[in-house]
Amino acid sequence: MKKRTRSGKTKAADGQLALQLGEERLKAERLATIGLLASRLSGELRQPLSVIRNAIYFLNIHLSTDVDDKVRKHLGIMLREINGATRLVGNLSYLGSTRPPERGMSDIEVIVAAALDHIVRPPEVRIRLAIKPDAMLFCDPSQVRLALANIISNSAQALQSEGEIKVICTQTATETRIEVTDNGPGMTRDVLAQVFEPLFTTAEHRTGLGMTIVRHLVGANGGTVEVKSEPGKGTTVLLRFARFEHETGFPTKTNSAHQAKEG
Amino acid sequence: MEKNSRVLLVDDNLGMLETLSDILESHGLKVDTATNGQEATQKFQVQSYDVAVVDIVLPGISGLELIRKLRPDHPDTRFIVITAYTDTKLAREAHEENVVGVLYKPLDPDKLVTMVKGLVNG
Repeated sequence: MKKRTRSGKTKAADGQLALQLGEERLKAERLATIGLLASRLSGELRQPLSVIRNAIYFLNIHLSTDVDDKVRKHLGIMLREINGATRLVGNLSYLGSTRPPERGMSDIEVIVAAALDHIVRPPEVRIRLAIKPDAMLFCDPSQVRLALANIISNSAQALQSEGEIKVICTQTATETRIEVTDNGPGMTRDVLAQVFEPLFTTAEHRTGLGMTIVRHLVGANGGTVEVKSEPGKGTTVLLRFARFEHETGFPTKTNSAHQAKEG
Repeated sequence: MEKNSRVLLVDDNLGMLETLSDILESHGLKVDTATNGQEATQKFQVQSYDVAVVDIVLPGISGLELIRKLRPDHPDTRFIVITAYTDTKLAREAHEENVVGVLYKPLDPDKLVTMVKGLVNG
């Protein structure tokens, strides 16, 4: 019986697929190793950060009222930097994390304010907030806070000096949208295509983990992330979360599907 | 056994013990410290505590084992667990223990103070 042979074209396609799968496996293994190391490092770093934060808290409650404003300012600077380091440590621990989100009804204004507390930005960078009053989101607030802190921090980094970051939150009966827009230099199509790749960064002193974490955290809370950017036209990151029946008070079309998914 | 509104902090990190005890004492609480499970058990043999704030990872027995060991003889003590490791098996187990709260480091000192004062006053 004549043995059937595959065409050269099919063989090449198979080879390409095998190569692709190999690369994907390598990437997954690399991310798993990074995750494990990151998770252990973050645990070690949480100890000294916690002690320093406690010490700042103690100094703040014991400083007399007539203390020089500059002393208070410097304690504020220390706390802000500690919060920035805490955000990085949070990123590291979530990389290796399998902890499910602890979701509950959370005030979006409070989440955004806490995210802003965790970023370091130049004073020239203005922040404009337009958040629907009393807007609530069914989520793990610490995870969405960390995601937003990463996004806003990226925007502040992109602006470098003067510029504006807008955080807009709107809700419909079926969806919550949180949009972070900056009027920075924007990204080329090539950069945009790699924005969620682990360890990808355009800045030398950044970890390149921020947007990977953002997608992970937002996804874990039932949301999606979209990034729109053009050179010279700034960047917009849009988070979209489906709303649940208990959030809106009346049934929504998307509820049943999401609740089924929640199990 | 003397019964006061007392707090026991159990952590092997001396910086944590020093700063947290100063903070809680600043809020009018009486605080003792221990660096491991054995020391904590000895303190409990001398007096009882209203609240014990226990780190999960300790030299020797873990914080959770310590809580399980102390609970039968000290049913009125309320336990708060603290940890720097957010995704370990022990951290997940802590949520299943009957503790008042599980707080992750870096702690929010305000949150801990409010929690402890609520338990002591309540």
